[in-house]
Amino acid sequence: MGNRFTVKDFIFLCIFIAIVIILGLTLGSYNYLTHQVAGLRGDLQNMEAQQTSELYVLKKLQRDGIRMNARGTHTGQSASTADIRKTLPDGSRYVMFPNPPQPPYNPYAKPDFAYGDWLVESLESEPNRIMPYVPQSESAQTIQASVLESLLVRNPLTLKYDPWLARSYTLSKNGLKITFVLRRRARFSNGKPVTAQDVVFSYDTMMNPKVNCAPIRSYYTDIKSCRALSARTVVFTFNQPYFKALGIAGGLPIIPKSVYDFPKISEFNSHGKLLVGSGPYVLKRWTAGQDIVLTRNPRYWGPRPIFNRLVYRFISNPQAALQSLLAGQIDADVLEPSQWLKYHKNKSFRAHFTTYKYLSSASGYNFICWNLRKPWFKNRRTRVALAMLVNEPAMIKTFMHGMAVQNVGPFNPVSPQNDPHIKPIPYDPAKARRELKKAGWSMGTDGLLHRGKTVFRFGLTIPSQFPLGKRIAEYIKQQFASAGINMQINPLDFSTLLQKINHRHFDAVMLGWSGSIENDPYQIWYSGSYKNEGSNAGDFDDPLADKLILEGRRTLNYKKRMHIWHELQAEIYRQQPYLFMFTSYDLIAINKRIKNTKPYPVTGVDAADWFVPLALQKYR
Amino acid sequence: MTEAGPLLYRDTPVGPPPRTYWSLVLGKIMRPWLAKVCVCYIGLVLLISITVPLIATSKPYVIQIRTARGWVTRYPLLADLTTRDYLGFIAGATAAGIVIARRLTRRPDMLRQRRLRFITVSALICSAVLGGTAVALLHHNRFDGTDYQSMVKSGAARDAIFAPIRWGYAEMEPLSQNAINQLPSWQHWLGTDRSGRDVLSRMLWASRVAMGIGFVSQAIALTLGILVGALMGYFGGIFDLLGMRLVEMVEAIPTFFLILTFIAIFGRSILMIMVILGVTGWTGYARFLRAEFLRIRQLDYIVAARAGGLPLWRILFRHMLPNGLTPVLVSASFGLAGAVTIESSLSYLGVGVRPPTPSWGGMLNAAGNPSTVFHWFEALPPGIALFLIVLAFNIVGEALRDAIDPKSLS
Amino acid sequence: MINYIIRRILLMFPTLIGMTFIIFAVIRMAPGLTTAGGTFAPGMLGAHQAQLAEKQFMERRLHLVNREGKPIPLVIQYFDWLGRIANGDLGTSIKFSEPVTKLVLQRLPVTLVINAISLVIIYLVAVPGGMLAAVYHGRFIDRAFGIGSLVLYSLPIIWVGSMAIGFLANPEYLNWFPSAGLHATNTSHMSYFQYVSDYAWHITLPVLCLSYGGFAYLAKQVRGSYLENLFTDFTRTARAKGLPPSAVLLRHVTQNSLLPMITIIGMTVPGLLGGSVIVEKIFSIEGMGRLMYQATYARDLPVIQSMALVSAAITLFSYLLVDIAYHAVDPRVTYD
Repeated sequence: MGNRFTVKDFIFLCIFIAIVIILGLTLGSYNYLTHQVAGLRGDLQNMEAQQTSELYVLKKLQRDGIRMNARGTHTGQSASTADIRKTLPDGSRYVMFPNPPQPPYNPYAKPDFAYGDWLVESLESEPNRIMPYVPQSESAQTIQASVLESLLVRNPLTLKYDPWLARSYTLSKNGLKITFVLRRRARFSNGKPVTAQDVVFSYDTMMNPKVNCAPIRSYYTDIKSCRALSARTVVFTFNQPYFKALGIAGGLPIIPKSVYDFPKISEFNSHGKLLVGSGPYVLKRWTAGQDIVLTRNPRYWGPRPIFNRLVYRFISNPQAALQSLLAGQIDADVLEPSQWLKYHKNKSFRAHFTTYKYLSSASGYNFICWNLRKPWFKNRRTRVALAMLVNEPAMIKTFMHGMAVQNVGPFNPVSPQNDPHIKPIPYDPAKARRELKKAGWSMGTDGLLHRGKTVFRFGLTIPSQFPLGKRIAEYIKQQFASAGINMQINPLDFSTLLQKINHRHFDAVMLGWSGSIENDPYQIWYSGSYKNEGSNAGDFDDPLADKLILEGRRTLNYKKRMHIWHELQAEIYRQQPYLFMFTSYDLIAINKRIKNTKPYPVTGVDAADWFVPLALQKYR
Repeated sequence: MTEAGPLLYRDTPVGPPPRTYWSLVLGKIMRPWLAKVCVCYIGLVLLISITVPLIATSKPYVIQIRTARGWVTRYPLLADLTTRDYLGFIAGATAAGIVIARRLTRRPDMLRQRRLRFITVSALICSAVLGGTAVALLHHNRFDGTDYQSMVKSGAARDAIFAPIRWGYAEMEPLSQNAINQLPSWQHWLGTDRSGRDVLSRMLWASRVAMGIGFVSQAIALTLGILVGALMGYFGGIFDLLGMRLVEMVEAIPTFFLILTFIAIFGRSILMIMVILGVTGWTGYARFLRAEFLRIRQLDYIVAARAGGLPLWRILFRHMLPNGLTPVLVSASFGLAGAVTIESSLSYLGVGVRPPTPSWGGMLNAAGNPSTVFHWFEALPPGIALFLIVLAFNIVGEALRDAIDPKSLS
Repeated sequence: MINYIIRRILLMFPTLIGMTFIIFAVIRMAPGLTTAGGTFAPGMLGAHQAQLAEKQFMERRLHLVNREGKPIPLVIQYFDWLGRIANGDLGTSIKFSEPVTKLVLQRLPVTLVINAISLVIIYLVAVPGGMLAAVYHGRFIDRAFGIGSLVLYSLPIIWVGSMAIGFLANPEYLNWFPSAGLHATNTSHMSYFQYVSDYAWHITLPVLCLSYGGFAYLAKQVRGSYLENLFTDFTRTARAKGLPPSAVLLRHVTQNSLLPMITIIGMTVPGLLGGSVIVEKIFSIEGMGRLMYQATYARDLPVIQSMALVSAAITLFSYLLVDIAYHAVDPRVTYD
């Protein structure tokens, strides 16, 4: 009798379950309360920071006074002189901007301009780490762009370099010396001023062989030295005249010595999450797997940041990102071609979202890199034949729905480096077979091409998180098979793939480079870059290309240089070390409450220019 | 029960064939019509998976190609069969041969001749198998990427006899026609996928992967499970203790986690996946066999066999195993369903078979992955195929379980 | 009772230790242990030195060498690993560069909550269903239930998940549910009710995908054990006494049929954990299953090691709870 499950036991069981449920709810509400408190704390910090910065501005106004300009609006800061851009008597160029330059599509001048609101964007992948310099994914660079700053900034319309952290710069006539004078009021988010020591420290960290930043470091090899002449003056000296000298020296992200001076330099590589700079936003919180939140830097030295918060949610699949965009959970999204086709003509979609389609210089291009050390790819004629077997225009039309442009060389079609007159290699499988025969390949009894002892069988390594890449690879496999070439597809995790590229353990690899307005082809195409841990993964070694690269780097005259780049492009395209594929359009949809989103002609949209009018603001 | 007839002319009294345990079980399995249908379906899928290189491929059986020397007759399809295809044919032929041989030697009045004939037929089958395997292993796979259909269209070839389904699993429609994601049409009976490949052909080829991995992995698991379970059940004592601890340890890690662990360590080739699934799935069989052996061990005939001094392996595998195997077979049917499901889940996640090889899970991934536009008509065929095969295995398993239930056997 | 619990817990330890041994052995068998995929990019060194540096890095990460670089003997490696686990240090992930303990602690509650809710739903649906099937056995409800649960059991999760997301969470068809994640963006600005309902809205599809497969087995067991107990003497006595059928069913028959229902909890937990991998991948939920999948992809051995161990520990713990509940319900049962 004593062990039976009676009504009393049942009541106890129910009480027990009730207690468990209450505990569960309490824990849940604890979690909820934690979220609330974190939010409140963040709001409090924001308010405090806002007060501090307003106090700071007030103090400055009190000290320096306000200057009204012709339009009746105030510039807010003391402007004793105007911007200067001139050539000094000794031939050097001198540029001085007493105030940080304003963006060409100036949001501050718009009538309904207002500060505030959050900007929520989505990132495709969660970065492993966001330390400065250490190589990382595009996501990390997007985040760093709002937190770190550099000495110069490039005007997106005029493409000239304007001083940002620097107040002025002097470029010597022979292009070998650049002197920067830092702004007095530039300071990091921890309050410490940006000094020349920090610039030198940043340079030294970048060049330190123990820091894991070899790919970026290779851009800086031409800098002979970086010295601080005084508390606010820095001099960069170059080995030889270099067309990108201003861009390199001016583009170095400046990190505070007080924060990043670790006793053991290896800590720099392993830390992963320390991101402190002088930029308008600071890293507030990184919730692994969910999002990264940046808040307004309360001690920002420059024009007050527009948004209160930048939130980057990690949404790895585009369909979920589109859903979030439609639900209003994110404010801007990059669309896939199929999504674009479906939505951009849709009336109700356009009522809520602004859409843009453009080619930007940052898009870079996709390609297949042949490892030129392997026996199959040594011959140029073979490589050209391989390119003839691939129907690029049809591939773009079918797989990308036409939302891409074929590449005819290592330069982005929108960049001035690209020569629009070069004709792409036509799709001609019959001719390809003849070319292969001429190159010495003959069909064996097993159905594959042979040349001596070599059988035309190799593996193409593709990044596995790139579904489009898989389709393209399968298509190319079929095309090659029809000519007697057996290509196997090896999908790899991206980090493993990068490793294999570093060690040159591949036959052919499908990749993409991102680009900039004017690329320096040295890292990718110069023959020496193979040994120096540069990005010449396929070991491209062509004397004419080397000569053109070195010459181009030294030429400071824009027109002459572009001419050299065009020649270089023709030579590289002729040699076909890559199978150049395409550059895709940027397809962007932005929530309509965000204004001033017009993209610049070459560089595309710039989120630093966006704002939300007071009436439409959604988040406080 | 007996037929009238002079006893002098026969060796043994005639009557209905003796009802063995197995025939009783088989009879009970086949009675419900659903189980029959499912067994037939499974047989159909097996048949398809073996003969698919002959059914769904872009190479014609025979074709006349215009060369410099005039019209030459070639047999691309037969010339390009691979080792795996031959092995499949041999396996199918062996299974069919054994079934037929048993049926032929079943008549009750042929007791002595029966044995003779059975031995002869088995010997013939074995030699055919060995010879065929030797041929298959020594055969070099030929690689042929020629596009025969366009040759026929352009007139460079004529009189071609193609397979019923003119597409292999990797051939895409020419990109210039933009024929991706098409709905079913006369050319493509189930439409095309997002690269322009024929969905029906890929489905049939994927059945090969599913059936292959399912059967081979369960065979490995069955062998392992029988070995361990037999030892555990027969000897008891310390074997039982250690064995049960081992079984518990392997079972405690969720199967999927264990499989993922092995895949991360050992890689992803088809053979490796078969071995991994086998090595992680034996515990159920071991448990059942142990329970059966513990029960059978005390029965009279086994005690007699031990007293009679029979060697151990003979007792285990000739006397105990055939009687203890039935619950294991039930488990095997469910295990097959599980293996097919796991293989397709692995391919769905992207850690299963490698890309050009089609797999139902991989096709589902391409169609139903939340990161791309959803094409429901691409997600239907592989899903339905998976569902039907798993359902078939489950129904057969349930029927087997009802059949061996001792309450219903008379 | 306490006695039983203590003995049962003590029995769990040998199994756990044995498991660590098996996991250790399996991981050490990996070919190319020190060349697992990593994000280590060497500095300005040559290719050969880069390989060497990478090998040294991996060896330190996997604790194959001590601080000076001398290789540690295999046996000591094992005990070293056990010691670190006992201290709570599960190693450092190669892909994420974070301590594995932190990763697991972040993701474990997510998976556990989803699995717990799925378990509850499985029981809520399957137990009454099994009871109904037993009471009306042989009739249409029983048959329908049997076929229905068989069909549900055979539906592959990958298909159901893909179709669910494709149709129910897709702006092009029915946008009823979200397709990824567990929370909306602005969780810190929601009221408690909104927070809970947002969570419930996100969780519906994953829980549904996880739980539908479990109905069949449980329902069948419940039906079987109820059938056994429906035709016994004590049931007939209770009916003869004049008790209403519902009282007979709910009080007398149930308490005798509880045992199989409790056993099955123990068997369902590993299945749910395994199913989590797929569901979390489909719905982009950051849980243990997703971590396991990412680690497999990137061949992140420390994480895989630890995940195998953690999931085994969870399963063993659930077995322990089941056995205790077993004993509480029917003290005649002793462990075996």
